[in-house]
Amino acid sequence: MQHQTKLLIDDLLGSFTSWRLWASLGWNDIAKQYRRSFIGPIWIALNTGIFIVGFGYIGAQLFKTNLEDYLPFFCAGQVVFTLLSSLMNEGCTTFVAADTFIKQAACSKTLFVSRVVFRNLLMFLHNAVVVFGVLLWFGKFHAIQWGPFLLALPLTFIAGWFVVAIVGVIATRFRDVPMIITSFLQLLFFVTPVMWRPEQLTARAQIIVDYNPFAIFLSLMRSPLLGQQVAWEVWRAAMLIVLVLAIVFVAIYLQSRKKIVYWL
Amino acid sequence: MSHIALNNVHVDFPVFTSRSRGLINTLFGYARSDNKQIEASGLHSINVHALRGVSFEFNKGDRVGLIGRNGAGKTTLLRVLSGAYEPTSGDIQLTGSVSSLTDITLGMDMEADGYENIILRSIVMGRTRREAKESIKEIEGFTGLGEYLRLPVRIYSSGMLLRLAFAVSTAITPEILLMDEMIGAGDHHFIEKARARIQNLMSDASILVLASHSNDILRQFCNKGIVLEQGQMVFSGELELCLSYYGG
Repeated sequence: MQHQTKLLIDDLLGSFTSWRLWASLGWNDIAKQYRRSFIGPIWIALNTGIFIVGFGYIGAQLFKTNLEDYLPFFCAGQVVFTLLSSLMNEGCTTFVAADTFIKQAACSKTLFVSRVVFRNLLMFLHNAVVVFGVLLWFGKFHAIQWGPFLLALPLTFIAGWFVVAIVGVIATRFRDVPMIITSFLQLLFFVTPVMWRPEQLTARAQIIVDYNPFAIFLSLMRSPLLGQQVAWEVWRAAMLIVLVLAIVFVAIYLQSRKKIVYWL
Repeated sequence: MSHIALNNVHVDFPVFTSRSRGLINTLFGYARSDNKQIEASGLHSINVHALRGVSFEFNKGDRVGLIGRNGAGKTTLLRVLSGAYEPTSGDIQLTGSVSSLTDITLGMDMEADGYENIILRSIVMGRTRREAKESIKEIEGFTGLGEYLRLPVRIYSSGMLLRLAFAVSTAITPEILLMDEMIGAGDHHFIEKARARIQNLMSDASILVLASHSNDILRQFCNKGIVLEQGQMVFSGELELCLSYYGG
């Protein structure tokens, strides 16, 4: 066990020191998507923008609120939810997609976790342009609370890193996990306050917001963007989730890190 | 000082059937584990003993040929030496930089152009972006691809792709070089160049481990050998002795 602990620490240090490799791989994953298209990276933001503005209009009608309130709310929520769900989805292929690397050389396994997380960070930054665009359009850009936002961002990505690492191993061993996660995320989209506001739920139903980790990180990231205060309970819950994820990560990796290559 | 030592290395791997590969099957399978039929149809994984108790030691100057039939464990042993496979039990000690030329196109991207691929492949091989950029000129000259390097790699013929991959992969000399079969590349103008380069690389490396089915190639590059049979090392020593053991 002591030996495995040392190997896990080496693995993490390896991921840290070979940041060039994961940064290059992650960057290339994004660059690949627009190498053959003319307007390039703008597509990513454009896709998000079209969907958000399109649904924003309908949503404002549906929930009988004015566009000025609804669109920024939905836009920020949708972009953050996309980040969280794609971390889970893409986490599944962390190791499966890197099998040729892992089988050829002694590489740090968590390096590929960092690659997936970095790729998602780049994707998020593309999409964040849409959020800032919408906030500017409605004259709400100045209200952004940068301090809490810049604390929420790394906390979310740390949680995301652990999620990718955990899901990656499980999905390498059990190949039906990606399908299970995809259908789970579809349901989760409706249970998480992206389109609707938590206040619209009855008091009894608040439980699906209070105990939903996606809702917690969503509120952590979205509230500062909309100029709202993040409740202390939300910070506390988010930090607790990170702690639990870290414990699960260590438990799984001490057991399974060396088996990953054999499962591929 | 390069050095490789393996002490009683075992590698087992689980082979999952389509049943034990899924989470749902595994969970519900265990819940109904009194059902003999599911057991019998292979719910649990089968273990393959790919290497059983391999021990050896090699030092600077050793050129080791791995000899054995298909499935004898040659590739598994190379993967253990490269560090990709961590042995199930036993120790491995390795000093020196290791480079494995088993998949020379690893890390390349078909949509990127030749120059970008030189950088991508170099970074995958553990070089920094700056080192990669410095080596571009030499690689450019060696490939002889000229203006093609500005075009996406997907339009290259397989020979051209191999030239590029070969040139980048052999641009620096590692201390321990691992190879699974000889790599040959391109048309006969290039083959001569490639042969000279790989010979240099192989003779400059402190330790070479080469798996090959060709006695000629083994005789040309190796001085020592290991004979593997069903995951066990059945013979080791001077190359000629190994070849006659294996042949007879």
